[in-house]
Amino acid sequence: MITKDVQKIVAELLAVDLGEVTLNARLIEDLNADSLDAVELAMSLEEHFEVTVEDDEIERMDTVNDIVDTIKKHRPDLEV
Amino acid sequence: MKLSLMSCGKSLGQRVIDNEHFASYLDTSDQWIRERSGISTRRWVDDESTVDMAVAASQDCLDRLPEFDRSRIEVVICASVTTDEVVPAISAQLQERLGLDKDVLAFDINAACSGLVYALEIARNLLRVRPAGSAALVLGAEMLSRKTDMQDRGSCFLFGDGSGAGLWTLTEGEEDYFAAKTVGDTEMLTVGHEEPIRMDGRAVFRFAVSEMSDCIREVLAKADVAPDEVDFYLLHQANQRINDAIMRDLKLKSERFPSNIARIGNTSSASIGILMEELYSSGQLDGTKTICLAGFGGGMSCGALLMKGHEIHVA
Repeated sequence: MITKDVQKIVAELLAVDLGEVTLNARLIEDLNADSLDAVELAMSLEEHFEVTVEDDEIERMDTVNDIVDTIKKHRPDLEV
Repeated sequence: MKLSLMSCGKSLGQRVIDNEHFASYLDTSDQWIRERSGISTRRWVDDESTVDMAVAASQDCLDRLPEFDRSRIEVVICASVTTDEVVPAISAQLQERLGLDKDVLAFDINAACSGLVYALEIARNLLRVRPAGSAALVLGAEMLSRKTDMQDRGSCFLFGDGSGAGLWTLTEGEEDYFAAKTVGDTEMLTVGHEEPIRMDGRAVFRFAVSEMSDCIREVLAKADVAPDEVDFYLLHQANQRINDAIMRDLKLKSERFPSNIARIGNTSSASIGILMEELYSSGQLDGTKTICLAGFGGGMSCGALLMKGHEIHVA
């Protein structure tokens, strides 16, 4: 499940409660992420989903839902 | 035969520069800098040269072994990207200023922030073909304040000045394990003859975490050692966030990752030597320890050296 896995990865990396990682949660404004968090997040997503996340994709990931959409694009074979 | 540390020394810039220094003229803050790097202060020199710091660290190292016969030093290797001149090398000047024998093999290397790890691997192999009991003086010495763009709010707070030196010899025991990665890249992290340090912070972060983890895992596999069997990981002190990411990747706790970046900042090839001196001086290297040194830097370069069952050798 892409959504649940993404939420778990985000919560662990940013050390926030899973409940805070809603689809609409904004990474910087709501979850206190910064640019290095975004890079590390991309690396964790790459490892977990076996994909490559480009720099411009990282920059476009504003919300948790944006991350889910990015992974969906790379892994259409996985359940959302 | 394996490397054994005999003594350590360090030298730091005299001036303590706090984060408020940067906040006084740039759009930044103490909190912003600490959150992004873990750095609270760094040390800058006043009017010393890189050689002065190298001499001070080496002298500190040798002063701790007053009975040590300096003629045993067969090799001197200094890692630096901020030498005062192209020629003479820092290591050559050390021969004169430390009063070492003329037949010492002395040279500098540039592997950016991986320098000390690479220098130790070279020293290890050079000592193998020298008489038993020979010693190598291996150090990193950097004056990064000279190469910092003080108007670059993304990097100016990172760098400090210092030197870390170690005296090493070979003793009986299991070989040390080494791994290196080189990814030739002319854009990610550069320092020109006249140009300051330029780097793509995100790309460097990604390289550091990915390749340093790979190097560490490679030496662990070669040595058949589990991550939690290493007593100390002495990582290049570039950015606490990088080292935290490595720590998470290895699923280990921070007590195995000594850190001084909060106080000293990033001193490139000097950082691991300075960190090692702090562990040595506090007695944390006493007894039998398994130690993993790892660094990454411009080039791009990356290296790890694992010393299984390391013991300090009392000369």
